Amino acid sequence: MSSTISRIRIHPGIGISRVGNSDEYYYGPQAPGEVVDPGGSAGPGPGGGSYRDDQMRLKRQAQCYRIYAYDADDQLVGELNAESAGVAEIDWRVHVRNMKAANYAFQGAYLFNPDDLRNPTIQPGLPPIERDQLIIDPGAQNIGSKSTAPVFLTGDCFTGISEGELPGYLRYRGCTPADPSKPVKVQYSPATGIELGQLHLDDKQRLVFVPGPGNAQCVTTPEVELSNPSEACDPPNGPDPDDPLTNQFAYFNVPGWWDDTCGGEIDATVTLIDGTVLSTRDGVTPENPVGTRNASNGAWVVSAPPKYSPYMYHVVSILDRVFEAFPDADPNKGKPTEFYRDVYPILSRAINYGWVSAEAAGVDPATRNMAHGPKQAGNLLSKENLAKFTDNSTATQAARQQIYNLMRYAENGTLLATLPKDPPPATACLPPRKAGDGPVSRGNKMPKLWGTGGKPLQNQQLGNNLPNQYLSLTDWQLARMADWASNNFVTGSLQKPRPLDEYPLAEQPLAMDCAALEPTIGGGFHPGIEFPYLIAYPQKFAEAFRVAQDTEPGSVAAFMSSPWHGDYWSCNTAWWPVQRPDIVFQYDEATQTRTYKEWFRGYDETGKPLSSTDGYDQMVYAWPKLGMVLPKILANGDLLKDNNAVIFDEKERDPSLDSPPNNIAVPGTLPACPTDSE
Amino acid sequence: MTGTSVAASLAGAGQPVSQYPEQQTTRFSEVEYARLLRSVQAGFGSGFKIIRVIDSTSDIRLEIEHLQNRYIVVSSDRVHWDIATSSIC
Repeated sequence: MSSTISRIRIHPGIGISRVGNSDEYYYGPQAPGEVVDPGGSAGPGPGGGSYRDDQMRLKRQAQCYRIYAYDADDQLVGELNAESAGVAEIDWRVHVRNMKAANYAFQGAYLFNPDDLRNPTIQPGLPPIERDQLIIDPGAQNIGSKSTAPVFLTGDCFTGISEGELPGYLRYRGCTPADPSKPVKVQYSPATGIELGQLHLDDKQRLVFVPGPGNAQCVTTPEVELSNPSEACDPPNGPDPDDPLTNQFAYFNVPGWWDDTCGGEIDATVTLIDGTVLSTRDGVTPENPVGTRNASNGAWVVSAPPKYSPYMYHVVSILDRVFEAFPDADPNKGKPTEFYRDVYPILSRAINYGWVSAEAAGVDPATRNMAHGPKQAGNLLSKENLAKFTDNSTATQAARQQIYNLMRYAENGTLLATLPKDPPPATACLPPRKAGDGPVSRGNKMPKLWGTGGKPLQNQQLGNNLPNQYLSLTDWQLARMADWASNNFVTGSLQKPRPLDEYPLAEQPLAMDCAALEPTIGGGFHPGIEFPYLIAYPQKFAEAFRVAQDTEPGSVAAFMSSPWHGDYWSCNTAWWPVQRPDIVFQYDEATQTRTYKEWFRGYDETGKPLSSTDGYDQMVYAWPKLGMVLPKILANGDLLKDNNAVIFDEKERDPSLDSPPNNIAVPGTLPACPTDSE
Repeated sequence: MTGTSVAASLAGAGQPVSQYPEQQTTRFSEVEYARLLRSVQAGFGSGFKIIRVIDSTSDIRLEIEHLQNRYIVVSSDRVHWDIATSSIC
């Protein structure tokens, strides 16, 4: 065996896990299109499982990694696991970090200024990687044949800091700044034992990365509440437009806060019975078990917020971005365009938005009767539409051309073409402002979702005219649609997703690579929810599906909101409703009608209704209780449909959100927050 | 819950909406009305508004609105609400 193996690689190259406050977990998808049952019984999952445990806590979504061996011609030899003949020992090595509190402040589209750090008074002037008091770093940890017990990845942050001053324009729990223009004096307490994740092994010693419990906390006294101070003081951009702690982007950079999402590297070393040592890292020997990272062989992990609509995909995923950056990685490159493989997914994803977005559903007056709901004109999957869309004759071309003509192209051709030339933070990145009156006309195109350039109203308020304020399909997605509109396609057939083990061995690695990234957000990145816009740069990859060689664990995820909850709440319209729905429906089968409510609703822990206008801080409490959006599964396993479109209902919402808590304290006048003059 | 379309019957209810409809002042105190609105917003989302109180003798019945869509909703405990009729389909 050892003579045929040239190298080993881990798949998926980039894995995605999602936090949950339950101790229980389930695997994320391992094959394209797969929706994994979350386990348990009497639930709405595809196998009857439940996304919640018996205490109504949200289960975590884990990522399983496998090791595959390749020969000298890079042909797949097979999977290596504990049951493989000739394998004596497997050792997994994982190093993740959370660097959010140490990173550059998010300052809007494309803007990361190396002079503006989060928590700027702590270890000032240092690059993020050297601000160790603000980095949650469990260090590299191992699990494998020698030690199979689960490993908890824990670390500390805000260590060694006693006191400081924070802007009076922020909100504080339990006190109110008497004079917002004066700083508030705060005491820091170290946060210790923060769990970023767990390492487990399956019965074949494959790695299972289990993300953290979704905790987030402020370490200061008084605590800082998540808010957007610019809304209350000198809107739209706050008392000091250049201060990322108080301007319109303040809730991405909240001082004193940590969350337990993370990112980092996954490696493995396999020792064969004949003593051969195979590693994803370079230079590993029995004497030097650490070696150095080889980005082409090792993998990456991201832990991200939950995805509340596991059956729905965003119209542009990170998988689409990978194929945009590395066209040769697309297994279908060069093949004729096939409707059900290349175009149908785009149309069906658009239809699904009609169950989570008011605008796409047609319940918004601006889109009524023109949107994607089952009885709306834009139900692209109706039998009448499908008949035209699957026919490649000139007789039906006008219908297809009409859809294609609605598609928006990225300005300058691709998203990448409008991003700053060099990825930050090498230099201060100025936004690529452009001349003109703004992108209003582009708003009439599809998809009707915001882009990486930020939403138009925000840009108008800030006086920016940035490119790509609306999302566009990738160039290769549009090329497929152009073929389709030009009668240059074959119809193909709708394929049901298959589990990984039904794939031929040679196809399994790519299936895992694709499956992990398919349910992600590939734009607009503002700043992103699984990955920031850095994922659009080819130079941030070693190759397709592999994060670049010199990428520090935690350094990519660090560019997203700190903590994630404020961003997750604020992205409540036209950003990525298949991860966090804007509205949710209940469908009445008898009448074939539906009603909707806002997804973010209920009571917070103080008895206040969850707010659709100021829910930044409430999301920290509410996120594990909010509902899932799931299809109704028929007895034969098919999904219930209306006019050919899948029906989605809200399910598994924690009922504790629906009643106000007992013994609500009557809010009185809050005392003044401490200032330096006291 | 039903989703019976009552678009036609609700069409005439399209009076200008105020945050605190005048007719409610005669039936509810400001505190009671605020509590009712809070319950509706917790039950449906904070973008929902009360258009009118249809009946409050036993079960309370309201007409509420969101994005120009209207529901008639009913509650026996003024905490949990069911949609009786809807203007959307």
